[in-house]
Amino acid sequence: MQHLDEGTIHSWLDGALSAEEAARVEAHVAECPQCAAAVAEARGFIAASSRILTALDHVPRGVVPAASPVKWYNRSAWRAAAVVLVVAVGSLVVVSNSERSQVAAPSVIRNAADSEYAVTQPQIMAPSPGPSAVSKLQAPPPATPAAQRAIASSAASSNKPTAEADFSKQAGNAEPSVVARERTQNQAASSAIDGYAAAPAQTAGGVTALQSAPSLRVAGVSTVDSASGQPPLKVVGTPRLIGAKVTLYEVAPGDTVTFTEPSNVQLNAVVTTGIASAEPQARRSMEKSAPTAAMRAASPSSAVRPLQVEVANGVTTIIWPDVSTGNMLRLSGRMSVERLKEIKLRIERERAAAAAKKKP
Amino acid sequence: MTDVDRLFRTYNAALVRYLTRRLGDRDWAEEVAQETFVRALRQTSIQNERAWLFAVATNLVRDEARKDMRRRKHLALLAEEEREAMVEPEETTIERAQEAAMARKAVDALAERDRLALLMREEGLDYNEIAEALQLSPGSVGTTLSRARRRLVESYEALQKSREEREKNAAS
Repeated sequence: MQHLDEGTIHSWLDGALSAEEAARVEAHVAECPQCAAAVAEARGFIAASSRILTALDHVPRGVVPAASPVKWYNRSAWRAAAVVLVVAVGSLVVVSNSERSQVAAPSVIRNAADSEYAVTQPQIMAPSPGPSAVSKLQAPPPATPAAQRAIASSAASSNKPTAEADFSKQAGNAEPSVVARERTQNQAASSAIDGYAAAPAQTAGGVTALQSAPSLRVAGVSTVDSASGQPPLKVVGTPRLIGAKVTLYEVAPGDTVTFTEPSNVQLNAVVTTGIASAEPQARRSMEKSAPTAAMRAASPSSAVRPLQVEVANGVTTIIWPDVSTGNMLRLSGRMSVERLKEIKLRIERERAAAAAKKKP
Repeated sequence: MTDVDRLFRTYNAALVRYLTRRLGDRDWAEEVAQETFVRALRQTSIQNERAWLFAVATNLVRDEARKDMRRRKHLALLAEEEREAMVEPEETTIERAQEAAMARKAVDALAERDRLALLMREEGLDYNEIAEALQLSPGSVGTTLSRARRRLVESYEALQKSREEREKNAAS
């Protein structure tokens, strides 16, 4: 038999030969040292080439550059910087506002301190700041009272989103009903986060929202009550009743609740002008004038009376005593007791906040 | 219609490795492999799946390579410049990179048919499949592979030798 050619040896080693051919090759290799050496060499080539090819697997990815570079404002460093700035501005505003609101006189427009001007430069004026725009932005602290008045008043009417907003801000514009500070600070935190998510590069994003609150100084006492709440309770009407103040809140589109509180102020109007001074007389007056049977039944001294529930014609009413005054408060609407309780908590928070603000 | 899910699971790894070795770029290899499976999707039936896939992938590479040869050459040049300019902190990485570069050169030095046959064989294709994919006669595959292996190893060893000599010269 002739010596084996290289192709045959590789075919044999690769197991590509038929059984018959393979047997013949094997026999020849066994008795032919020259071919045995060729087979050994072929084995070496097979192993070596495999090893060489394996080295090809260590290729770096992405030899071809990416199609489009990352936009500068999407880089993480810038985003982080934006967050820091928003938080810093937010806290500055909170601090300065909380100081100011303590001394603010009713219905006085106060321009921002010079230091705050510095951070409010890129002002984008919302042309017609509707309630939705305001709430979406989660108006940061100084805007809160104003923004929510705007919400309330835009529902009520007399809306004038005006050039007055050009005052860099009317931050400290604290009317008797400014919202409590704790809430304000909570909102500051959330607005900072929102600002980051929504507009990373617009460091003034949070600040911008300040401007979107039109400088409406609407206000009736009743709208004042609605200032707070998150989402703010929307006042849709304040029908007057003798001996009680009634506020209609819209908690969802087409879904209103009626909040009734006995009006001490009216009954004691001669001597009292505000809740704080009315408080001592509140209980007495309530006893004298409690407009409903439920209220009459309520013991004025028990601050922790359980909630009473009345259901009539699909309208649920919950009645509970005001913790501070002992007045019986009523909340009714076409919804479940649980839902009403939720709203009750919100109203209570607002009232507590408002009361805290009014006390010296 | 071909069961592309199964085809993909069975052959993607081998196909991507084959293409990576052929192209020297993993991303590009994955692109071509995907395109290959997309084409398989359009086939009503495939006789020898593995041979078909490797043949189609090889043709795609050839077509595309022709199209943007200049771009690739330019990029390869840039990449090489970068590699030369780069100082790797770890010695093992240098060695590895040098081995890879030499392997690349040695593989690139092969004739196209030899190279493809060898890469396909490394992915486990048998002689009949290689013959089918490359349109060779089955009897010539052994010869093709033996030639490819010998040349690959010889040119790699030559590169290794010249590198050792360079290093020796640099040291003395």
